[in-house]
Amino acid sequence: MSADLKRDVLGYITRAAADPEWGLALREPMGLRIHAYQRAEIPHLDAFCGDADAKSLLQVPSVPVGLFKEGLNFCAGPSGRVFRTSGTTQGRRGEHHMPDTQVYELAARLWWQACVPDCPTRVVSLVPNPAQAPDSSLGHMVHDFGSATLSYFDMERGVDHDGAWQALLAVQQPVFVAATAFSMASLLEQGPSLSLPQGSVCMVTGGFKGRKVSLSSKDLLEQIPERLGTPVVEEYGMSELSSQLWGRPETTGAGRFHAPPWMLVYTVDPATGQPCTGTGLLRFVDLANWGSCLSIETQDLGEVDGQWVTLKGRLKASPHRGCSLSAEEAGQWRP
Amino acid sequence: METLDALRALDPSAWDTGLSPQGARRAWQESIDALERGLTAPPEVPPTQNPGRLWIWCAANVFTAPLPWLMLAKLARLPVVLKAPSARPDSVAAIAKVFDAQLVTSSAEGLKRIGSQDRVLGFGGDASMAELASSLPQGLRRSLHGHRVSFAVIHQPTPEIARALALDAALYDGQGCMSPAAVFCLNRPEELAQDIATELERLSIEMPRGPLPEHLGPLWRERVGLARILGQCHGERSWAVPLLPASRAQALVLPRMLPVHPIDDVSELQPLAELPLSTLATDGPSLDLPFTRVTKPGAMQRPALSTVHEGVDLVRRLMV
Repeated sequence: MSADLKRDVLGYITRAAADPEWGLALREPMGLRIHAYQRAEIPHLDAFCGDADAKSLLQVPSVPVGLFKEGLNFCAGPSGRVFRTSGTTQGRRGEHHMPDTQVYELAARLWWQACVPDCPTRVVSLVPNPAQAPDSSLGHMVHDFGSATLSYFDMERGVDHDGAWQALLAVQQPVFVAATAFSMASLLEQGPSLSLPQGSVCMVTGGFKGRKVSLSSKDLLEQIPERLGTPVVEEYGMSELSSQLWGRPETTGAGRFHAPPWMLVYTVDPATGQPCTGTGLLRFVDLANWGSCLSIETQDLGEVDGQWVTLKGRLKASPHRGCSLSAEEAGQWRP
Repeated sequence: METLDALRALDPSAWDTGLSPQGARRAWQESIDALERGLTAPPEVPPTQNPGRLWIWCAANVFTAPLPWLMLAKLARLPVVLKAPSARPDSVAAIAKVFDAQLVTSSAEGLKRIGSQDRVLGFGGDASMAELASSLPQGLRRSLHGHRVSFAVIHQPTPEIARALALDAALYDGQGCMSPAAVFCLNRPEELAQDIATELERLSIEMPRGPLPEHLGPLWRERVGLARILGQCHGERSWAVPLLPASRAQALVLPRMLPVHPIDDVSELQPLAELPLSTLATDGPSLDLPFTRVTKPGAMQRPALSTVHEGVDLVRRLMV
């Protein structure tokens, strides 16, 4: 059953990338098939779903990302790979176990190629190197995109500024520069301005997560074309998902991202968890998560217009509860 | 008694308390009843011999919190200034009128007006108390109270204990440091969880929960989900009793959610000592843990009129 489903998901994603309308039309039945499989094969997920009897993808119980920090394994069958959250905002790191990375890699690559057409595959990477951080989904994705990847990020020391600038100054052919917002801001704090070969593209993902940098996100996105001579595309992804959303050079800075046709995005009222219109908490039904959790509830606010998502920031804690411990403080304590 | 009558005449459901109208009225009534009981044999409060006023810096959560301190200050004949939380000033404003206390709604204005003979009693989050402490003139008499968390430990559950704990969880919808974050149970935890659930369901009709703050929604769903995976969960939307291993206990209070954690021995509770503890409710002996108050179940949110708060005699420190 597992092999059949995986084969069919690979086929579905391949065709949906080429024919998004077809992908959207088939998303519902394929998603419900995955949901039934997950309930049968993942005891934790089946217990989480309880009595729910989903007749549509909107009714599939959505797993809050916080549950991935509880050390639970939501994997159909043996865990072949685990991706972990960075853990910079809270002590515990979330864990996303998956049977293998074949579907993850296909989904990531096809949607990247669709959203960033003709993107170079020579990569200058300022994200974690898979050899050093095999549990980084971002590092895995970027490495998988490249035919040749030069890595200038060290898990202990951060960005290798000298090495990265030397590499960027030396390139003769178009490159794909992959960076987190923090590592790119750190790089731009020093070094020259240059013009990378035409056809180069710079990817920026993530926020600063409370770390101090001299540039704002907006300034950073404006500076990259000036300093590196390349267009910028933003990427939105998380360890708990197997698919990513991409911005377009023309939407850079607007927080607008395009979801692949094999992903349903919708918003819910943060308090009740009921689907809502307008700004709400984002939920992603990602069919590329075929072997783990189909539906994920994030802590990000946004608006959804078909396959386009506009991010509106993170759900913030209210100060009203006074002398009770805050969620952040309480989350740190464990008996 | 005139003061109590004047308090009883107020309708707290008109104020922004974060509670349902029924919840606000019940909390108000319980609080005034506690004052009345306390005044039948009031604590000894000598009239103050010193000039100056008592400033009470009120938190934005438990709207009845200033009442006992206002009553004690009245016994001490000490003038009071109430600093209302800017987010929810209306309950404090109404209470100030009854006690003939001055009212200030801006922190900046309050800090400007504090005199060298004044004293400050503050309640709130750790960050706001730290900020207040650093803003007050050096040497000023003060007692500032930040984050605390409370628990219940039950040895022999009964339906009465379950009903009492459900009331502890329902009053104030988990706001404030005297709300139980969890119940640790040594015997028949499933039975206790079931009985608490039955009572929380009844209370959800008699005294519905106020609106759930948005940021607590995902945490609520997480806890319910975790209980379904690793234990059992009674209820789902407007109240819940997750039954979870003690290793999954949290110091976080969610409105009308009362987790029950089975334990074999109270020695398992030693890690609680790492937390800033407030109230322990128990049907057994007290524990060798730094709780500042020990009560019977059902009395967590209904403190008796006392001069002591979190181990500090506030009358001695601030009112004489």
